[in-house]
Amino acid sequence: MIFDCHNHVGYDPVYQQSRSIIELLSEMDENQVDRSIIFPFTNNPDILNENKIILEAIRKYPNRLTGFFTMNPKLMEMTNLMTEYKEDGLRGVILDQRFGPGYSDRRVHELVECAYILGLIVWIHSDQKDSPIDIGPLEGLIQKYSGVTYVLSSMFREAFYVAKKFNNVYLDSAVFELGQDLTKLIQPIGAYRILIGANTPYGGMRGEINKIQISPELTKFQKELILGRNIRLLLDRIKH
Amino acid sequence: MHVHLSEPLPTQKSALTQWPGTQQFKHTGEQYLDKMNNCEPRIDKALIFSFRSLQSESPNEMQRENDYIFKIVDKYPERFIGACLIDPSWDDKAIIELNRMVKKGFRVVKIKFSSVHVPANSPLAEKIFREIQDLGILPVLHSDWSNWTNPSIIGDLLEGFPDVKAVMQHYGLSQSYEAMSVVSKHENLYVDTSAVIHPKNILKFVKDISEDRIMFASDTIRGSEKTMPQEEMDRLLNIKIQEDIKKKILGLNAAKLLRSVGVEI
Repeated sequence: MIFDCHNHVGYDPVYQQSRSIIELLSEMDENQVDRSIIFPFTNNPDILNENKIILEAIRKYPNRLTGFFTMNPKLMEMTNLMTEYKEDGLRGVILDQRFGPGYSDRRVHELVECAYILGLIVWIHSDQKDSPIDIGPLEGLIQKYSGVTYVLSSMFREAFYVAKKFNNVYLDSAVFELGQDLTKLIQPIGAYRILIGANTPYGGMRGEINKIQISPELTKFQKELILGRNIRLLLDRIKH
Repeated sequence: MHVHLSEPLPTQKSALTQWPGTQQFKHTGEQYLDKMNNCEPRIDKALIFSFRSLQSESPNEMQRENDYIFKIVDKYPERFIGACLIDPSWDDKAIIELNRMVKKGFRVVKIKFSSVHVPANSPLAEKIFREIQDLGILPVLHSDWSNWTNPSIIGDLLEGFPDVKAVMQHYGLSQSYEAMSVVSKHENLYVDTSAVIHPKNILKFVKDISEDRIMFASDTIRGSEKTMPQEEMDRLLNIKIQEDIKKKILGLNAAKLLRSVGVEI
């Protein structure tokens, strides 16, 4: 089973283009991907409308899609919205510094606190691949809310350091440029905390699957974990 | 040429968004007016724009903040020149807001593309620049070392708009030499001195590029910043530079540029 955990759908204002559920399903079919996690483009500030697209998609394709939502910590109705999204079936919240508040900000702490209470995965997303992340405050946040499961994605290499330090941190494969970078982390963090994430439409599912499948340094068991078993186990473990 | 103002938040909102015991984040027109008066030499005029809407949670918030700037300019027309600030990621809604403020008389727009992770050479940035070109206003653009707004990316954007005059803010950060290289290729590009790390790079700019395209700016953000804008001004005053050129950097260049886009000074 292949379960890809990083796909954007909706409208991307920066590149002025839309990505539909139909296009995603077509890419999944072409690459024998059984299930995908979807969430909005984080560069779109209109989170209410973009999250609606995710909700409609998971209702229409419950056997193929799992939904996460984006949240702007500046919104005063944040925790009410998070509760509604959880009740509507979304399983994780996307946190991205493009909304402004940093990892030491009170509103971000409240977002993570709410995710802990609701049983949501906190997906920390950044397009800032070539700049250091705000690592001290990020570590403080993870440490403070150690009962939360975090996924670090599309990040600078310091994400590797953070994942090595905290057992509740997962990495998605989009953080690795090459498969060989990914296999180097098997020793310090294990295969059980790496999830395949193609970061479509920027990345492609075929390339991401190849990154794992062609590796001569991963066992069949480890490949199965990364390709889908890890995320399935994680979602089963976190309360509905 | 670079001052951010932030209206105080209602007490309840402030209490719920900041850590208990921390000072409220604010910078009012009156606070900066005091700073201008106390600066040596006194600052006569300042270009002001908002701050929180660099990343705006809604178009309404962006409007509310721009309206505060308008209110301050209306109250102190002799001291302040207003600029509209837009969060470009709101796309068409940001363009609507820009037009609203231009109709109210503003001729300058401040954009920080990196705040919302928008590359300055992206289709969205180009779309906003086409609007700026049509309106004939002056964009003042934050620059830094990021992959969204480093000087080369801003230069890339300017390639398509040779007739739009623009200001690259913070040219003197760590990417100063790259910034000067870009500015040397674009006659329509100006710089501000805010956050200059090595003040000698001001001399280098004047010597190698132009004495007419560089302007003093403090980038004062918080009312509680006790040393600003004096600290930023001192960096300029303490370098050995001809008096007539210093006068240009302190204000004459800015006045000329602003008048060229229709600002009444």
